[in-house]
Amino acid sequence: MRRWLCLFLLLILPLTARAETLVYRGESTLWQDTVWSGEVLIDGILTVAPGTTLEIRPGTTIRFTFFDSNNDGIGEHEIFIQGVLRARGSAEAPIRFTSALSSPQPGAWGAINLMASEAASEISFALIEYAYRGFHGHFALAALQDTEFRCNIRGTQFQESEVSFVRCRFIDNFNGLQFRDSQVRFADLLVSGNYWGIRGVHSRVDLAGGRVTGNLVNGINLRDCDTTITAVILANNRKGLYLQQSRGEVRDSLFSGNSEHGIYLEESHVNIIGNRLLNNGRAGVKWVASQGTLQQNRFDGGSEYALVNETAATLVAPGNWWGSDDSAAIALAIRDGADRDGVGRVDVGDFLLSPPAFLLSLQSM
Amino acid sequence: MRARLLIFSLLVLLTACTSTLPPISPPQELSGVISSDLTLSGEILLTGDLLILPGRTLTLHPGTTVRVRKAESTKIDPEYLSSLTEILVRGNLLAEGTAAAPITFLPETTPSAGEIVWAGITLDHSPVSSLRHLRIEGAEQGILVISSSPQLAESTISNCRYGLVVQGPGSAGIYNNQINAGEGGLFVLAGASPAITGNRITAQVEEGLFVDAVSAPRLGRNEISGNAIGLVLHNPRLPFDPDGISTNREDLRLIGRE
Repeated sequence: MRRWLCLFLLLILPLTARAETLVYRGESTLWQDTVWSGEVLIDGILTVAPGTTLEIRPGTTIRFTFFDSNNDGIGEHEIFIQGVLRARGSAEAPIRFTSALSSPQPGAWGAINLMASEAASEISFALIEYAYRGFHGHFALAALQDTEFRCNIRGTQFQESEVSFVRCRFIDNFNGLQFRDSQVRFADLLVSGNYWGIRGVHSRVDLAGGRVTGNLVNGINLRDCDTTITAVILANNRKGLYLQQSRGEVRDSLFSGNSEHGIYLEESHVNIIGNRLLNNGRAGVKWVASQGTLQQNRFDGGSEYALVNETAATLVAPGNWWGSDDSAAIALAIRDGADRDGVGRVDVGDFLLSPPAFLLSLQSM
Repeated sequence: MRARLLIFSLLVLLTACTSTLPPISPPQELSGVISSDLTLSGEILLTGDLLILPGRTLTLHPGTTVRVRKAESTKIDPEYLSSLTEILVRGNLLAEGTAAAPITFLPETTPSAGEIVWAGITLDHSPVSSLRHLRIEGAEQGILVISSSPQLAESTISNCRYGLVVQGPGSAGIYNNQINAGEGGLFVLAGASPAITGNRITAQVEEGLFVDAVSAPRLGRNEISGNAIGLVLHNPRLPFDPDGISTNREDLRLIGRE
């Protein structure tokens, strides 16, 4: 009889604990498929072993205790996914990854680390806050939807990974997103109030829709990347879009109120087509040692210059609206070889005599 | 025999020289995270990014020279704000030189013309930093002030892409500095409101002093000359002292919002 009672208690105790707070202390590993719901406390480093799936149910809150072994201000308790993560919240009951501290600072815990994924992991309808790196991937496959990253030192950081973000929000992090050697797809994202918004190197990056606003340094900075950017609002950043040694197309997007430049191209080959640029402090477009086309754009003024050419060759840019139908006024809106030795002229060709229609506005989305 | 005599003579000469010269101490190498208060002087070689944590203070004595080693890679992690070597101050930096003994920040090796070697000094939410009598050269941004209220005075910033950039709230005091020979001199951005008086901003390829539409610096009299555009104001109603703004290609550009 006593043996049966012990067995019953062994079976029931974990369920009882899970109904309250499930606690992992020290270094521990999940070797079997596991489902979380309710409250989970990570007081250490938890690994999800290869071949294992961790499923997180809607409404679950996962808290990480603060532990800083090297006194650098960064918390080290975190989770490593070597198997698969399925964190599927809902609009009504999102999943929350956060610090166990009552008044946390960014960096209070480590990261959701996704390492060498066997299959695509999913995070949807989640809030990830106060981490060093909210989502961190190496050789990862992941799809993130309807998830908000806020008050992290880095919202996401990954390399050699394939990641998609749909309707995700990166708000008030130090760096919003940074990645290298990856394929990244964004749809309808919001990146706001970070120091760096999006920063990528050696990657394929496709953005469609969304807003990148109020980031202190650059809204989007891509180096050595291939990119398409379509129907995105980049507003009130220091630089809106900064492309270095990159290739691609920027189309139908709005660049407004960026303190310095709407678009800054450096040694890049990019087609800039059908965009609207206004109230960017130093210039709508700064074109440095770059190639490509600049057509059908609408430069609406409010900038020191509409266009600055710092390419040795003449930049041929026909078919744009320069804020005026007067050639002399257009010339004043352009800084080029007429103003400065050593750089080429801008040939505006047959310019538009009235502003083209443009659908996107700051109130959009 | 003659060869042996020559070697012996050289050894004697070398011994004599080394015994008469004062010992040369190698520069102190510095990088990483400063998590307790630290005071330094003399020759310092900055070999990598330096982060001063909140609540900690780095104090540099007058006459200190900080030479900055160029970053080996074009890293994006684990950098702080720039891929270049940088000094990021989230605590405080007390670098108060004197006219006779300024504190110098310059590249470890002489850069080629126009080359930017390091990121510069960033004050990020730094409560009480004070920088006086500095010499800064070869940086992307000589000093970047983010939401801080430092006193920046009597310093010379040369050959930096941006001399001085002030962003975000705070009440920085920028007095009697010389900013010369860069792309742009002094930028006031993102709602900043520093006091700017007595500075000399010259020989910038583009703007001398630039103020964006949402910032409201208190502009006293500054000498702004020899730049492409002397003063750019995106708020045309912002008060400024026009005396001292002269001999620029264009002295003043007032820009209203569309």
